[in-house]
Amino acid sequence: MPPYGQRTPLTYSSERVPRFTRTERALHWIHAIAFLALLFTGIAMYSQTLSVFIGRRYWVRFVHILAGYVLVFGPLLLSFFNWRTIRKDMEEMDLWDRDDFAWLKRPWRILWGGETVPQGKFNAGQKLNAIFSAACIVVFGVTGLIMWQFEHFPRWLVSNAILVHDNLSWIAAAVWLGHLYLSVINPSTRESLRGITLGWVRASWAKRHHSKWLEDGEEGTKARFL
Amino acid sequence: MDEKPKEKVKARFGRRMFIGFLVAGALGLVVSRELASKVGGLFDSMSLGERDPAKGVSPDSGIPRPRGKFRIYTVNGVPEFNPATWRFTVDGLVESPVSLSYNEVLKLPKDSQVSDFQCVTGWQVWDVHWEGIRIKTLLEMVKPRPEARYIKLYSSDGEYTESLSLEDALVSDVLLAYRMVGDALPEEQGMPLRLVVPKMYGYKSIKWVHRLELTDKVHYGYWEVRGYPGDATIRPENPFDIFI
Repeated sequence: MPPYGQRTPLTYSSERVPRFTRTERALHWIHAIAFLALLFTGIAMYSQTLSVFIGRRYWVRFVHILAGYVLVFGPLLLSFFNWRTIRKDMEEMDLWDRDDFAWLKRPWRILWGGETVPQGKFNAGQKLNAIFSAACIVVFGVTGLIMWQFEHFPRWLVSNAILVHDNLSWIAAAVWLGHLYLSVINPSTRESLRGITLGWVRASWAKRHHSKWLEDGEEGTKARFL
Repeated sequence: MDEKPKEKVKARFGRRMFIGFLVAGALGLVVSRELASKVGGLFDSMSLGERDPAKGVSPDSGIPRPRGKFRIYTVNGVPEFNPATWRFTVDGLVESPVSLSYNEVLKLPKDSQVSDFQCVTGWQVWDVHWEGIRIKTLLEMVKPRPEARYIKLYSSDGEYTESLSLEDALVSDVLLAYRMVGDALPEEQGMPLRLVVPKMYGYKSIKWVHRLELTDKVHYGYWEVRGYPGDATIRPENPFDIFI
């Protein structure tokens, strides 16, 4: 591993560990850009004040639908190029051990950077977030399609779709704010931002937050049923 | 003693959670309207910056309180209204075109109605009280020529247009409204004049109307050239609908 650099505080290990491949980072950022475009165009159409201020409803709606396409088909397209990596991560998200459930019982420990339950490549919160996000793609996709192609669906279904779509947006926005806080602001977790941008993290941080991943490497994905 | 260390034991729990979220979403797709009507204001209260449409209602006015909330859609902002310079014209294939000031519009024979408003995107508002003029009143003034078959309506926002066949325009609950729920039409609701077509989706009910042009061929309006049906007649509820 190349040294981290001159500005590294002595208390940190200078060793880098590769965290996310280019495929994983592309997946994250395609999702992120599409999500933000959807969130802001969605708010622009939902809020009376903003929609009156911005006007151009057709174009806001157009960007919203376009970003919806990216959100749904971006990950599929990437899977087509590098299914191995994405499949491996999905496997990680799917498999939960006792440590994951123990982590989930006291998730706030992550906030002050104290000792947490040993975790694999993703901690239980990250798994939950990824699973929720994946489910959101489906639910937003289906309800959005019903709203968009309203003339082919019964009216009660269209009203229900709009309610689910709107109210789930608030939940998704809140989850995004939490995600933003943990990855950019919270001192004990913001190292992870390096992983999803540059692709590597410091070994000392990985040892504290993802010790099983650091120790087992790929072994950690091997499944044994409960 | 050959038990494996605990952290090595794993379950395929992620996919179950994923399915769980999808089931919750599907459930919402079936019951959320029912739930929203029970929970009442909770869902509505999340709407950002909406004006209470019932603010002009006093208990003894006899005007019902509308149920539900309008969502305000604009395609080109809210045009400014100046009563001193604003003109309302009815022209095209007519014998005697007219151009009226705001005060002259207010002096025309007035009518009122209570009707529901249904948006194509799924929301609706029930029991909205409107006051304004019937299209019939205007047609009697301008005397359409025999070849006139449609009315094209223009919005002051400079972009939005709509059209109605003469038959549709003369349906008894079609109104050009300048008052709403006992108060002057709010500017985001189309001040000074808007169309109300209760039997059609809201995109037909063009706001900020300043001109009616009688034509012999159909015109496709703002949303209609962008994919919405030219006939905006509200679809009946699904006959198998049990969630009304």
